[in-house]
Amino acid sequence: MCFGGSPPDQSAEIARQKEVDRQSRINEGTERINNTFSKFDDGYYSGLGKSYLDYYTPQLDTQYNDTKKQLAYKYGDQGALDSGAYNNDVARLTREYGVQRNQITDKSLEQQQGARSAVEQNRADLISQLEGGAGVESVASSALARAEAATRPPVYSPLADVFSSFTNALATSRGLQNQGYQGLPIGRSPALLGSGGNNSVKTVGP
Amino acid sequence: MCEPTTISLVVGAAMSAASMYMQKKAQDEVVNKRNEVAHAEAARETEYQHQADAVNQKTEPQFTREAQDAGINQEADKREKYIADNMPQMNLSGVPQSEGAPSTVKNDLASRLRDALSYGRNMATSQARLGAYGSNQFNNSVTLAHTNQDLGRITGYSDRSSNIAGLELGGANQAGGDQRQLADLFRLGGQAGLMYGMTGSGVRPQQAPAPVTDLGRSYVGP
Repeated sequence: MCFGGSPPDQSAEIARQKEVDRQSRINEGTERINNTFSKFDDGYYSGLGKSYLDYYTPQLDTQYNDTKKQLAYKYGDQGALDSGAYNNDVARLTREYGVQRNQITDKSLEQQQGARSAVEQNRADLISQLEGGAGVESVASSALARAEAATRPPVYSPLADVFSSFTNALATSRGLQNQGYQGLPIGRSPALLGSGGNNSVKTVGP
Repeated sequence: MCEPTTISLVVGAAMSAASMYMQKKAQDEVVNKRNEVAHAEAARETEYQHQADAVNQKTEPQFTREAQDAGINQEADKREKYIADNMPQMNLSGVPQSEGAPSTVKNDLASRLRDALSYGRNMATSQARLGAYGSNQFNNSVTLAHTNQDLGRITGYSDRSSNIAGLELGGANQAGGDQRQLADLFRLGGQAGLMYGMTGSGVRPQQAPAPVTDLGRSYVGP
């Protein structure tokens, strides 16, 4: 008072103001991140699942139809198109086809979940960065970049030969026939006559 | 009555009283300031508590037994429908057969194909039911991740605010600095006045000569 006094201690006010600014920055940044990622809704994930189905289902259908034709040619060549063995093989092939369709459908759901998980992870990372002190603008830019990367079409591998147990057996049978061995109709080949051997199912997808 | 020592005593007493008053004012200001800080922090903490409650209230209903059962069923229905929609519709027309095949053979093939398809459908249903648990778990984990993130953020706000409130309380202890300085001045002035008033000059009084007794012995005493 008499000697001019010390400057006032404003450390608490400064800290409080900084915290208010920090909260405001986090709230604003979080809102911007959420806005950027809002396009990843149920419709987006359904579309992703559909694109997976659209990619793999025609390939599976083609493989199924081709294998079915090969079976028909083989049994037709032997005049056994109306045999029980042929019916059995077609039924087994069809059952296998159903299993594979299930697998593809299930995997398309997995794809949706995987994509959603990745988006959520990105969102959480960005919010953590924000809480760690990153600026709103830089985090908003990162959000845009990550969202764009997430919307890039996924790269799928072509479907593997899921009916290889049938096609391999047909090829073996054809090879034996070419060598003059006629006694092994396809329907009685061990690979095709078994009770649905464990090796007959191949996982589809990448 | 108007002797300097008396005046000094009165002024000294008045200054001491003023000092005590200023001290009290300074203490009151500190208390008021601390209360103000505490009330403001309590209001902030209450607000954070409300925010956290709102987050929990949004999350908790999803985790009741009924809601979980319903969630699993909903996911199962969704999956079943999704898989069923994507299951092939097949008939005999797609299967090559010899034209002259007996009806027994044709019927046999039709029956086998029906079995194959129903096998696929049954498997799809089982797979959907099984996958529904996974889907429900996934939904739960997404919800919990959001909840954790929101609660973590609110907790962070609350912690930091409490820390700053500590600083603010420290600052509040410095309130009333002017009054305290004045009180100190008054206290010193009061002490000087009282001392002067009691001693007359502010110095120790001269020692009186020792009384002489009849016995010729001196006695020094108070």
